[in-house]
Amino acid sequence: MWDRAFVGRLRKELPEWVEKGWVVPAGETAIMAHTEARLAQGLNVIPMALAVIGALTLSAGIILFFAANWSEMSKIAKLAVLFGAMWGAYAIAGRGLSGAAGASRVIGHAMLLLGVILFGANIQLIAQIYHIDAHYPNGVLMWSLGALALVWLVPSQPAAVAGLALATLWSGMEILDFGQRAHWPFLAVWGLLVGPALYRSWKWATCAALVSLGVWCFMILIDWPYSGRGASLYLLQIFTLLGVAIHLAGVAMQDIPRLAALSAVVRRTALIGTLFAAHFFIYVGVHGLPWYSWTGRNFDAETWTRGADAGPGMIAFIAVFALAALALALDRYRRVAAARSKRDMAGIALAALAAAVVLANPFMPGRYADAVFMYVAINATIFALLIWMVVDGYRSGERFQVYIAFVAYGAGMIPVYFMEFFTLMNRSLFVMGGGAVLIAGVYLLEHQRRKAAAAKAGDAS
Amino acid sequence: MMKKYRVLLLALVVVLQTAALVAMVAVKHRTLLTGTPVLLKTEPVDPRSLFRGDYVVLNYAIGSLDYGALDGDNAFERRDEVYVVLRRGETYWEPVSIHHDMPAHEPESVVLRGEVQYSGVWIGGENRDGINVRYGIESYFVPEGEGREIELPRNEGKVAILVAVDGGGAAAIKAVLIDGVVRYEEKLF
Repeated sequence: MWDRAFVGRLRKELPEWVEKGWVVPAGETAIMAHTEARLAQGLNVIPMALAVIGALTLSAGIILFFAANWSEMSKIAKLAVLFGAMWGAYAIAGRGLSGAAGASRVIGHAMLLLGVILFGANIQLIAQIYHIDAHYPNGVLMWSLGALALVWLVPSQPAAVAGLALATLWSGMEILDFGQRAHWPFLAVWGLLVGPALYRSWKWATCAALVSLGVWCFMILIDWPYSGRGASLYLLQIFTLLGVAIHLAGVAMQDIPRLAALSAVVRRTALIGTLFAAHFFIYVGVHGLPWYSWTGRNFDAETWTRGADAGPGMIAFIAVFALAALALALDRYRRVAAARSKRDMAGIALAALAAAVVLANPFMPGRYADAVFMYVAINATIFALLIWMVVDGYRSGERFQVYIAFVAYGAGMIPVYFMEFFTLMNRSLFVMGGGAVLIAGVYLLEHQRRKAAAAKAGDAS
Repeated sequence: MMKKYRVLLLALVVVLQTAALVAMVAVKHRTLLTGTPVLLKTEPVDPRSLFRGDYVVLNYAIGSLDYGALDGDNAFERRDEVYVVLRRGETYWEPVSIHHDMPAHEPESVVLRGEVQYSGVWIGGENRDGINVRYGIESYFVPEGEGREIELPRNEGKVAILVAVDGGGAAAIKAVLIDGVVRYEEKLF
């Protein structure tokens, strides 16, 4: 909010508002003084970003220096330099954070990040000096716990982002290198890092937390066995529902003063994750496109099967997440019921329909040809939700939602082109039909928007 | 007051992180000081770590254990903890039995603790029923460019590793021997 672009736009717009009598001249001066003071107080993104890049570059140089395992240096000298560098970074951070100036705090946070990186480098390099060859993900866990201590005790947003990245790396090693299928301990460390991020309204850390959760889900997916109980199809359903639930939680955060500032970042990040999971759910899980799929099986509607029953555990998970999404949708309904907004009601109805379709899916016949109606229902629901997202985003001024819906729609078009169970003519008609529907929709929307704008202008005059 | 409090908390974090790093060194050094010296046969290969530079991967003869040739237990899964009883051979120490738990053993033997990597081993050109085990002594870091030097004598089998094994089964590399001569020796500082 308090960025230079906003203040610059205010500076341009205010004289016109004064001229039209909307703002008194004294108000113009007061508004500018207030916004410029807030701008000066806040941490500017560019110096912070440059300081962080500087810290990362410096730490990369230090790590490479020790990676050379310089034989001319004694062990005691190496340890002195390793500990000295880490203590030095923290000492400068302490001095910076105790200073009053914004620039001093920027350097303080960058040095905290450097301290976290050097702590990790020290773990690796002490392991090198003393030939410690333990279960290597534990080293990364230890590193992320070092960042966690900083997040809780100092606290520091860059350290929280680093801690989340490290926790994801740790869990990734356990899942992909050591076959820990669903590595639940990750969620404990993740939760301990997310708590301070929400409490302190850290947007970057909140975004990083959701991204790390998404990456964790993706790693579970790629290491999940395709056949046997709990096929990846159902896992993708769970991830889609998890994304919907987090998105709806983000919507509910708008009405909670303490969390309202994080609502947009939660809604947007969850939306990207949901559409990503839904895309894979439809085109890999449901339609089993061979070039998208890691199974290497060729698609044939007559013989294609899901590969596995869902099993009670997977159905329980799907039910829990579907019910969570439904509960949050109902909560939203309760909040907007008084306004009787058709748009909100349509969105809630579509979300409920999507949850119901996803809940019913595990009980469908395994053979593709026997459950075509369900796959048509899934596609139609997702398509309707994308259209709703465009309309809702357009009306509410949430441009991001409009863009991401178009990106998801475009991403869906690509696999449709490659689907082998459509002839080229059918595909051509399908794509042309979709395009015509979109153009007609845009015309209707623009027509309505202009009508609403004209009515508002009439009321104002 | 608030700022002073914050700096004190930062100091606490620095103390915690430093203590964790010192503990890494202390645990390893305790094994070196108190452990029984055991000479093991190995075949080194020379990779490079992004963070840690050149190192030699030590492929021990006791890394592949054949159920048929050993006493003790013989039903291990991936990631299981395994205790291997070693007895002094003609030159190198050799495995005698494998167990799920720490076994009682004779004073002249030692017990080495490891983790099962996978089942099925390739020994003497044959696929045998057994396990591949990691003991936490499989990496040895060397100055840049020296990894190849250790790897080269591989074909003649002249590289041996002297490890210290403590009472809990933990091991630490004490020295690298090439042609029976100590090439690298571990010290605290």
